[in-house]
Amino acid sequence: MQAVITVWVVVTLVFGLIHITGNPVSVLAPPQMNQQDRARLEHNLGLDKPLYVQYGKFLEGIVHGNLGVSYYSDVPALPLVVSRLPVTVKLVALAIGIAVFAGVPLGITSAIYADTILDSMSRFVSVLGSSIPTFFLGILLIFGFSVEIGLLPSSGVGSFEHYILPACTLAFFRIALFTRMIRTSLIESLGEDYVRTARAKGASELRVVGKHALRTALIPFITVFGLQFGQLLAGAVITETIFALPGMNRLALQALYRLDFPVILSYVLIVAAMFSAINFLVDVTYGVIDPRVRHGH
Amino acid sequence: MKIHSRFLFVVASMTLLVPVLAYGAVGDSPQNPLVVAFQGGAVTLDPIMRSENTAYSWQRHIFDTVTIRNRHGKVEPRIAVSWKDLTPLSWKLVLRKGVEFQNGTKMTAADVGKSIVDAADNPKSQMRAYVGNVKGYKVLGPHTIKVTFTHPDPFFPTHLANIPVMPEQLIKKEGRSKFDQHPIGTGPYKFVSWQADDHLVLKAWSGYWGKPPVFKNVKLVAIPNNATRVSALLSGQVQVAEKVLPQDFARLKSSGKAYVTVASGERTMYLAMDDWRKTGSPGLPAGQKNPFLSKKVREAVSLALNRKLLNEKIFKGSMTVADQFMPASMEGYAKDRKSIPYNIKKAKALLAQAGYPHGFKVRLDAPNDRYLYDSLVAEALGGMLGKIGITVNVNAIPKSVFFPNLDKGKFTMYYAGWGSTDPISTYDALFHCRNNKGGFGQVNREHYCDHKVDDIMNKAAATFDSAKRTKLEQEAYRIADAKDYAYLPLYYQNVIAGVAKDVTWKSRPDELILAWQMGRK
Repeated sequence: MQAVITVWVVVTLVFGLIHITGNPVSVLAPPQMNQQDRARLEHNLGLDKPLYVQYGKFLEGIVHGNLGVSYYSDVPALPLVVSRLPVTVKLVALAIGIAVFAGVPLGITSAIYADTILDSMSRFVSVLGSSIPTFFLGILLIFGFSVEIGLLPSSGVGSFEHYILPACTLAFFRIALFTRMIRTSLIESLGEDYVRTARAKGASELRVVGKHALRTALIPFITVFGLQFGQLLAGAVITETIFALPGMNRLALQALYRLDFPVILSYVLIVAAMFSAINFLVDVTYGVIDPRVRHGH
Repeated sequence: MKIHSRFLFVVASMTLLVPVLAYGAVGDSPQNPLVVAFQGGAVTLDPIMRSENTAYSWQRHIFDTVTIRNRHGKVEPRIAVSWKDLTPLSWKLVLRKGVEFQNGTKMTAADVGKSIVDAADNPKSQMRAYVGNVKGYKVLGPHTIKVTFTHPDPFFPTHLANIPVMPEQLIKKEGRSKFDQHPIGTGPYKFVSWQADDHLVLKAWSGYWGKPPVFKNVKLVAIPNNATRVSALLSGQVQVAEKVLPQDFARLKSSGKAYVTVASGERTMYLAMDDWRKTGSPGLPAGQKNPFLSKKVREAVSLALNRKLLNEKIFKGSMTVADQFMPASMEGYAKDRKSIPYNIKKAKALLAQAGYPHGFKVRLDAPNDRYLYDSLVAEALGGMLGKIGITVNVNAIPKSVFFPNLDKGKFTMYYAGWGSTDPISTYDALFHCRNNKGGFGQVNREHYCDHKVDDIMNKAAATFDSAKRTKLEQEAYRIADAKDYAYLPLYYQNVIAGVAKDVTWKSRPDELILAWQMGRK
């Protein structure tokens, strides 16, 4: 129920905001089109009706799963956005995978060997990762790996290789983030009483870190992981544009430039729904990992 | 597991395949087609639903147009081989024999007639600007039709360069939306697959009436980012890349892998000034009366703009400096007109005479994502006007905000561009006194209005003798842009593309990119 209200608030806000921007016909109509044809176009798209009528129609459409037809390609907007979802999901899954597989071990190493040379090295990587802008890193990777070495394709989709550079671009910042997250919370939990107890019992170092300390350290990490996953799904705009991936974020950006309202609203609806779903999954995962949440009320 | 083995392949190729990938020759197979990269993609393959150059380029591999314009702007035969005006309200078209659609059916005279009428009547058609005056057609013989009009259109053959020939019976049978998913035309390439806004895969069609294209397998792709598009060209992933930026020219040339082709464009970039509101023009300080109502001020603004410098500094000289509103490849261009003067001293004197010895303040609105280097140009224009005491506040905004506000009349001074196919439609849309009912002046947002010039142009619009008509057009533009300063033409936006060294391609003034006109070196 809460999720439904959230989604409704979000789409209503966006509906209001985009209608303030201006009349889509100004961008859609070719400049050569005369006034009568413009008026006819506006009428055909239903944009000549009062705003509350348009809003009513829009809400009614949501209930029926029909958000209208794209002003530009003349195909239903919701299926159009959904058709672009797989590219984005593949990209984000690969990126987050790379980030976890690189970030978590780096974070653990950093925490265990805190304040040694290993730690400063991994912290150096973190600072680098969080300070390079995405577009810059993306272009850098293209220059390096496709123009100079000629190894990986610079743009488009078609094979697994096409996803490597964009996924690395997206992953870099998250590697840094995950490393720092894990390091901080693991150092903290290594100082907790139950860890000392475990050590006193004579448990092996591997068991102490792996079973006891890491488990609690993972809780804040899961929150961030969930947020990052959602953020990437809806935030890979720059990466999708630089690498010319036909994902849903690039579609949404173009729709925004073109004031293609049905596509923008479909996108927002999907993103809002995905965020709600991810939040729910994160909550469930808490329970699995942390016994205090599982048994609490 | 699959991903794992593929990853191993990538790692292995790092050591083994590098030279192959980097220096592969231009391919022509379904796996390795000729790739042409555009900044955006076509949003639809329905050839009358979208009047925009990328859509045109993509569609015109599958569909033929009735006529085509050559690189000098002259109309040449395509599906129509010859044409003649019978009366002011009718044109006769003689059609090519032996043309077939890609599904094997013969193209008939009725197909051509219906296509023209469809473009004129279909509620979703964006081609009405070209054939809106068409009333109907009549088949005179198996390869001849007569097209009738509600108003005379001496530019009908030119306008037909935008009208595709469609299999109207098939469209009627299976419906437009199904047809759009698998379009069939009479053009050199057959549709294979596509994704809107992203790519279109094409295969040469053996039944094509014209010269078979050199490249049999072609893929058109959208690569929005300029740096990525150039990188794809340099790495051999694409063979032709449109809209290469002047900043990348040197890199392309020094790479030895590609060259740059520039064609004089037909899009006139101009500066416009409010010509109707006495006070309350939104780009002026509150209460300020509108200085642009004075012709002296308009002339002063024109004199203050150093168009040559603008082209050299911002575009590395790759644009063509405008000497009049009409570009050289279009009828109505007057060869005898001299370049537009630049004279700061005279500009200042004119401002003083007009009652603004210390200048005034004004906001200059411009889009920042529509034209090549648009926000830079706006900044430069602001700087130039600063030299004669006009304090300009430059407001560069996204086109999705710019154009709706432009339509609402919220600008006093703005920078934009205009491209068209002929001097009459340009005049009627941009210069003619506004008249919503008559369909005149729809983009004349500054309300320039001179009935005398309108009369000259209305006369031209009904003149079928091209020499006489050209004279009238030249006369009208001479008054509108050189005497009245209705708009200040700055430069024509040239058409630029980067091409791999073993492929031949020359940019076209009409901005189309056609793989069937490409060849091997």
